Amino acid sequence: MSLPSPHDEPPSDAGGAVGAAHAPATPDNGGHRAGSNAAAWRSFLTRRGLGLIVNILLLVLATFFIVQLIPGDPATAIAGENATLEQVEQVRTELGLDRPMWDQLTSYIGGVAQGDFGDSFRYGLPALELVLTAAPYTLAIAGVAVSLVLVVGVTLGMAVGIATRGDRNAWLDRSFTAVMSVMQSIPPYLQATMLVLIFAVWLAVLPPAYSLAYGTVESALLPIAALSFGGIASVSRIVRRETAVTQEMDYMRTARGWRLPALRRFAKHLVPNLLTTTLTLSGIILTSMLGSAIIVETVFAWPGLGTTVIQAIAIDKDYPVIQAAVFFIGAISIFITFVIDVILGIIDPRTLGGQHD
Amino acid sequence: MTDAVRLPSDPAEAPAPSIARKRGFVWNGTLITGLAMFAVVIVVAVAAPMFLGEQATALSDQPNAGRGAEHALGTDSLGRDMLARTLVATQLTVGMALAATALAAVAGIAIGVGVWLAPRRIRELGLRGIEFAVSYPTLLVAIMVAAILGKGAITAVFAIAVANTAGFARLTSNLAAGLSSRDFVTTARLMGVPPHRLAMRHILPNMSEPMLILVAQAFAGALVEISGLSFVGLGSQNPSFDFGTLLDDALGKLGTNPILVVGPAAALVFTSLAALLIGDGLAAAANPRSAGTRSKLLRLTPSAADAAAGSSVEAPEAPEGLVVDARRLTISHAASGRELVKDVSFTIRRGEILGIVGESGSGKSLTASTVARLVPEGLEARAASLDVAGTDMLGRVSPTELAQRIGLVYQDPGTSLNPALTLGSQFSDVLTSRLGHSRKEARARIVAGFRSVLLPDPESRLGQHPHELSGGMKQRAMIASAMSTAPELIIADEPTTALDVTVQREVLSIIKRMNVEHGTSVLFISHDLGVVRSLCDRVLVMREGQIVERIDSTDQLTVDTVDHPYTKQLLAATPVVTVDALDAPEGRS
Amino acid sequence: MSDTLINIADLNVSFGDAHILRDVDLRLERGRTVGIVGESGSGKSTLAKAMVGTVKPSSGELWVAGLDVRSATRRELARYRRSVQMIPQDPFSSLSPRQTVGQTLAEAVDPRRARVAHHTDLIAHWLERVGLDADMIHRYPHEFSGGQRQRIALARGLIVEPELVIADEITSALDVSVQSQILDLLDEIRQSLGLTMAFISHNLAVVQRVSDDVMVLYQGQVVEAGPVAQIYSDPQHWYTRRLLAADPGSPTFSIG
Repeated sequence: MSLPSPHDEPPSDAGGAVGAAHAPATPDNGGHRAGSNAAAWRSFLTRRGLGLIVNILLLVLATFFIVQLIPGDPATAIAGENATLEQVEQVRTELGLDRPMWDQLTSYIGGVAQGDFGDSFRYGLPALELVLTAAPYTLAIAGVAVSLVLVVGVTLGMAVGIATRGDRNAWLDRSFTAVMSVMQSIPPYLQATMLVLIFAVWLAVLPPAYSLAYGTVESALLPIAALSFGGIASVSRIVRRETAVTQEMDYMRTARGWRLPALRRFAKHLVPNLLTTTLTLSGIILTSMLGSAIIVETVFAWPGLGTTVIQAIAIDKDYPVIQAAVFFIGAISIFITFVIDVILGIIDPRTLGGQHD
Repeated sequence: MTDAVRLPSDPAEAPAPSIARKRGFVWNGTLITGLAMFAVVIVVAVAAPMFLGEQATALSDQPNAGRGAEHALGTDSLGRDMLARTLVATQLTVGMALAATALAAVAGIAIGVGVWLAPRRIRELGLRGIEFAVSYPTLLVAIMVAAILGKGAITAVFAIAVANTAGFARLTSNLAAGLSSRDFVTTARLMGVPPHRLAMRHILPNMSEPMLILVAQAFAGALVEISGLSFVGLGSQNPSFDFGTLLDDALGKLGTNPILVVGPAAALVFTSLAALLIGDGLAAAANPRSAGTRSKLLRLTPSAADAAAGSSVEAPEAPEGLVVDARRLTISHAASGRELVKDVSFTIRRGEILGIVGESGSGKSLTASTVARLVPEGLEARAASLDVAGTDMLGRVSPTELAQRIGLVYQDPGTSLNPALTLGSQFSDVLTSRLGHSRKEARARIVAGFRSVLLPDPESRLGQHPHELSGGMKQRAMIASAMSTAPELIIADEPTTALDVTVQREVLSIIKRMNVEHGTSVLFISHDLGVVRSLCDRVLVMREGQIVERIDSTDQLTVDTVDHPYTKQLLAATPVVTVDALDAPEGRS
Repeated sequence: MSDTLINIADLNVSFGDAHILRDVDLRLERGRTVGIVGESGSGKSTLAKAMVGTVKPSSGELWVAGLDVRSATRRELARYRRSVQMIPQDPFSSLSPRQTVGQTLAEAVDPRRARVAHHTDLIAHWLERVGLDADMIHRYPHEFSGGQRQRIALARGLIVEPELVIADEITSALDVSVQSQILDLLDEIRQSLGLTMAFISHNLAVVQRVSDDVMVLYQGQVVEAGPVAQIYSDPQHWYTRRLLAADPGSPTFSIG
């Protein structure tokens, strides 16, 4: 039943049996078995796991050098222009800047391993504790916003992409592009300002800033909205474009050749291919939303990581807090990137092999 | 005048293979709008400080004024005119953003090229480093730099430049990697072109389009980010001011004097929108999407048909035993009206294999797609009549009927199967959705089909993805799928072109077997006269959209027996294996 | 100097566990053309890369034009690569879209400076030699058809007066009538210049038109080699027979 293989006698149509060389396996034997998938996952997880560790180590190094790279004498710079000599020396010993660099690095890494970034200059509390108190606020709004961006952005982009295929609904194409371009070009902090103006100042239905007088949910609505709109605009535009591109693939023509109903063609044949490219492209947008969160928070005096880190830089020069906050935000973005790769692997096992762009 | 059928088809491949893809720049509205808006921004940035500089910093006795005749956008707490301040701030804001973008581009491209030029190990390491840097939020990197260097305008520029460098480095190294596998780079390298000249001559010039797009996008990003830094107090410091600081001032008085926010907000959005539009416009110009009109399949009215023919055409009456009866088929490009297939008529009898041969641009594939009622986007097909197995393809035809009449096999088995779905899943769709089979029945039918095309281990193929099969096996699976609806006609468009010759023969023999065993007619498109000669019963030779010769017996397919000079030329050009030793030219043995 | 230009013996190439080429032998005299025939996975492109020195063999002898390619120094290898010219398959990737024909050819003559003005006569000569007009020197690749691009690629290979030309499936992307013209040109050029050539193709009929000798590769091994007339008329190995039977240009081609 199977194909003629070079191991066998020469195939009947090739004539008599003349010394067939000891050639290797059949060219047409169909390749992979079921086990290859598990093996691909194992090597993927090993590789990405190692990558994760290396990235975290790089992050530890980067946060360590935040203090080291301050031009001139870091201790003087941190203590400020008006500081007395004693104050400068105090900063120096607290940050360990009087010790050799290697010594500082090892004790810094040792500290980080135990969750110790030093004590906040301003509050005297452990820096990580301050960061961990603020983190849930940031994670709450960023998490909701990321989910909104993915769900709304992908659905909207796909719907518009399908509705405007070919020359259909040119008006929708034009107005979608116009609205989304404008929405994308308004920075999140500006959207935040405008939302405050509309909902807090004019309509006075929502609090202009985080306040215990209102519930956490009411206070969170505006920050989440400000954070999501831009992302929704970017993601939906990417998805719309990818929808158009994917629809022109040969396999979509094959699906049309099978005369499949539109819904099945889009939901089953288009979506999985679309998600792969979309997720690959959206990864950067999602992590950048963490960055936007930092600034949006300050508009609403939202007591999250953004407010914490900006106050620490701009006002307090509270370096242990800066280091802890930067480490924490960086770790989250590394984690998001990792999760996206895992989801990609589940949707399309081919991406497990490594490069997919 | 016509009985139009709007096909439920979607954008297909390129409008027509024969339309030469002209490389070049296509201006578009988006780009022009963006450039015009940006020109306004530049003019304001240059002129405003010269003419309004004093007004913007002059204190007046009207602090915190609202909207008024004297101050269109109000005044700040020191009584300075907000409109003038906004216009003057354009220079600093745009200047900082431009500087940051330029720095990031130069540094990023240099790093990208450097990584590409470096020895393999360093390159791997460099690429990893770039990936690591890119996965960070730009603003976090910017804040780290600000933490190191302290706050201020120059710090902000530097911080945003550093943060955006990774993006440029990644694009450069990705593009360079893609380009360096292109033949012209490999050849130049082998010729002995030194690496740095390779980069300057071949790599950088060929990445200018995507790079310009990224520059525009990065500028929009830098503008927003720098203003963001100023907004939170890390950017430009008193007494200098940019959009961000103005916005920060306005935010504090949002409750009392909201008009203040209008100036900087509008300016920021306007500038950022200009950059985004330029980016979109450049992307569209570099990769123009043919705004193709929907495809159409129309019936020539009898009078039009007569007029065109110049003689009376006997009433089309489908004779018994014809599976395809196509009369006066013309396909034209809807926008230009150019005819790609001109007045083609042919029939296919039951159980017959009809071959259409021709070179690229002959219209053979378009003819086949039209018979399948899959006219590519942007094209318009007209015919006096087009019947497939007794169904009028110019009228309303249900998808079920289409699926039962016609099975399709495509040229490249590598791209025509859905990479994300298993074979069982994608092949069973037509059977469950159009033929009413249960999932189980459908899968059993497909396994039977796999067995009949001699696919080894048919049951386990159902769970495999296309990439797990070789090209020949994919094409056999495709034939099995096309046969699964028991169609009366198989349309095979160059089904073996992408395959090795020995695999080609296996696939051809399977097509032949399906034809013999099931009596399925075949419309076989090919450029290879040798293949057509041995597979087909009759052959049409097409050239530039017309049938130049009809050959009713493939025995007649020799230089001496064909009539048309083009067919003779084609036959003469087709390479032949000469097996008689005496025929070998002298001096070659 | 010996008349043998290529002398390959027991050549092996492997990447990790994958043996791409096994014990390949090839001897080619000056002025002759060998057709290297095989299907995908046969290792024919790897053999070409080994000959230009971009793939490192794991063992065996590899002498081309009097140079031991395997143990050549960097400098020797750089000079050697100019004397062995590879003409690539894809006419749309073989020329830089941003360079004029003149710049492309000038770069071949002088890889460092690539000044067109210094070599105008030479470039014009070679353009005419491959059947193009000398005044096409300032045109860009997108202004040419696939067949014309392959002519330009050929001119770029020949302008350095190489000792060996390796043509890697140079006609497989072309229409038959264009292919026929390119093959005519190639045949005429190799005869009049006394060119030594390795002509790689999957198409036996095409190989026969331009080759003196033929070598059949199957899964990295040479299954048969010798003069074209002999191999085509009296193939000894079943795979050669199978290939011959499967070639649509073969008189015995039929679909079983």
